[in-house]
Amino acid sequence: MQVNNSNNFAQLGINNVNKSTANTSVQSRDRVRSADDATQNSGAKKTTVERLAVSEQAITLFEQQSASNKQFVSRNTASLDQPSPQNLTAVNTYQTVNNLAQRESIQSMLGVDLYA
Amino acid sequence: MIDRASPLKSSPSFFKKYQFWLFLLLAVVLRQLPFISIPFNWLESYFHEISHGIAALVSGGEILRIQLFTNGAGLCTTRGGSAFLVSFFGYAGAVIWGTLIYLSASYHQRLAQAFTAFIIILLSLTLILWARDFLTLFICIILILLFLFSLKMHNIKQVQWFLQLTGMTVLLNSLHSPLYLLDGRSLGDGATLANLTLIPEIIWVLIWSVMGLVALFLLARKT
Repeated sequence: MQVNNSNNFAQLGINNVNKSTANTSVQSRDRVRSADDATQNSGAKKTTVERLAVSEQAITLFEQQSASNKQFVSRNTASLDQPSPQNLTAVNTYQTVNNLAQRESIQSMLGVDLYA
Repeated sequence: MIDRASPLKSSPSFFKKYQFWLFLLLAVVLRQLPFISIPFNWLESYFHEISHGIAALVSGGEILRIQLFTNGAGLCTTRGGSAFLVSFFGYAGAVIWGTLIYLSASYHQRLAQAFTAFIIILLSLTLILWARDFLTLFICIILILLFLFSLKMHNIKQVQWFLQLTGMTVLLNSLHSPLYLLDGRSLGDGATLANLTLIPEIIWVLIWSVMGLVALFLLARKT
């Protein structure tokens, strides 16, 4: 903006005679610019509206797909990773034994007196 | 007929008459010697800790662990039992052990041998049941070897002397040890007893010191 203004002042200083014509040219240029801006804005609005519409559709589609994928994956993992009842019993028994050892060590730590 | 002028005849009676004071003097000197005093310090520490443990066992508790350290410190970890008895019998037990060792050794040579064997068994039990770290194992093994060495002495009289000296050293250490509690930090058995009974720590230190002095006095009179 500053560069444009200095050019305009220079033109005004050198060509006094063409002052009015210069002013009119500047004004007309501004009008053209504003008209261009208006058209660009309206175009942008249109494109944004279109883009939003597309993205909403894409989002809903993506959500549907992801939901169906999740159901598929959960079904698959549930069926594949589900341990057998025997294994579940074994793991539970193992954890119980492990907890018993931990409980015993904690019990041995509690109520202990130290004499020096 | 005994020739009283003969030094050979008079020396045993002199020794017998003043043996308590001789052993006391020897124990005082021994405590000052840098390296030789170390196993005797361990011994006093061991009897202190095992007394805590025995008090716990007698009052219905159990010993979980006994730790001995090279600087003569020790720890006894117990569960259950009477906290008062367990706390009190650390220093009191050491006094009792010292007195018993000295008395048994002075009473008869065979009794001295039997008591030495009993101490070896007690140390072995501690080694097997309650020693959980290498340092404690090492100290227990050294103490067992010390008593085994004394049992292997050819002259049974030497076993007796060794045990008398051991008893006197334990007694002297147990008389001296409670004084470490008077450091103003409220740590140790005295502080535990003070918390339990609301009787100040210094009173407990005094009680233990008096116990040690009384034991020394009784031994001086009896032997």
